Amino acid sequence: MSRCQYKIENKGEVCELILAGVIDDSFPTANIHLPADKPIEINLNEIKIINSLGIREWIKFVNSVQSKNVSIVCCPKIFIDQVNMVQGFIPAEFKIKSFYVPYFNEDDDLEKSVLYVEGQDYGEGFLNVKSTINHDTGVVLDIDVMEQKYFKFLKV
Amino acid sequence: MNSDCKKNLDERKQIIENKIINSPLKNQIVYDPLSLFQKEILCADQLSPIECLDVILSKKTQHCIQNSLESLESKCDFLNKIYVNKFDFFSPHFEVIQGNSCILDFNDISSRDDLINKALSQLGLNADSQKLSSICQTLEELVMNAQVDAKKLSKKVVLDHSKLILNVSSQLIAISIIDFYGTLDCYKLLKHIQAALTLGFDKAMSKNSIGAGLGSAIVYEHCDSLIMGVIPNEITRVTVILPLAVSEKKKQYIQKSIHIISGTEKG
Repeated sequence: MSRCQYKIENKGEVCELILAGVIDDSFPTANIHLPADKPIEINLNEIKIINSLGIREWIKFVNSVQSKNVSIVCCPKIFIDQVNMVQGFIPAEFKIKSFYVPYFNEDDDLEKSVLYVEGQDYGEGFLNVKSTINHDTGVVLDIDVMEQKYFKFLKV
Repeated sequence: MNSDCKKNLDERKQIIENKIINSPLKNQIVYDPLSLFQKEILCADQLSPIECLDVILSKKTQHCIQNSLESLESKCDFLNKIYVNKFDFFSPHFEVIQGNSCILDFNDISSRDDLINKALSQLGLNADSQKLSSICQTLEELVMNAQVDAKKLSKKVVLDHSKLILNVSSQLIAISIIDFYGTLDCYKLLKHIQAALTLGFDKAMSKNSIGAGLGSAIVYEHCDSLIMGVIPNEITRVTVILPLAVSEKKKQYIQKSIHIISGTEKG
């Protein structure tokens, strides 16, 4: 049984693929049938882990997607780390429409992830990085990534 | 370099001298990679992750230590312990860092999700925390290696359960996996990591069925110290020490250490 759950939903013109759990060697590439003639949106909000065998399976999967209009939304940090580290992790024509940026306060051990959205926080030639944010408790959290490394995939 | 991690030569020598008085380690520690011989221990500073690997691989040496989030003192304590009896390292009760601990048994059909969640929750850690994602990824790789790769590489039928051991201190977590196959080739594993770091993860990715070749590189990327011990065809223990609840900016100052503990007489 796959450790990655998936759901395919039609949102008007767009076909949404929602993935959750762990991307590993049990990734159900063969079971996921996506239309070739519709825009595809892949939602990764609930992806928890991508292991080393999952990296290979994911690359096989994205290369099997036939639609020419594919966007990925709600990418967790663990996904962005792979995008930055593994060349070809997503095909060049795929668009990352939103991704999470972690914030942390070491003294209070508080954390929060903020969703950066294309067109709002980044886009063609711009990236607005918030170096700090407020936690719900009022504590100030600092950005918890090495910016040059983490935002490398945006090529801005 | 973070001044918390960086230690000049005099500071390193002072720490080592304080720690190895009356120890069998005396006269085995060198400070310059160029003067290192096979049986000696390198106490270095400011070696990059790839340089640390290169030293171990080119000199076929067994220990390269650097001050880091896990202190040089703690690394000397570890060396002192294993130099008294290296076989102690293979006991599940051998603690690499002091603090809370848990030991769980698993086999090749155990659910990795259940095992990881149970281990973390026993130590009061939340597996859903963003800060634990690198720890969860390391756990995933190490458990998978014991469940899949070690078994595939072995010719023997092993009935004993493998063990997952966690030790937690305030800023560090030590993850250990013991399996009873004894198939780990430490230097080969380090070569996989070296390939991934020098060629890039995509090029180092193996197309064969035994592992993707990336797992070890992912583990090394996250760790402060990597300790590998093997008694061929009997037992393997891999221990990885990682930062816990530490900001990513501080993690950039980690200086990696590697230990290889061979269970053979010549080792």
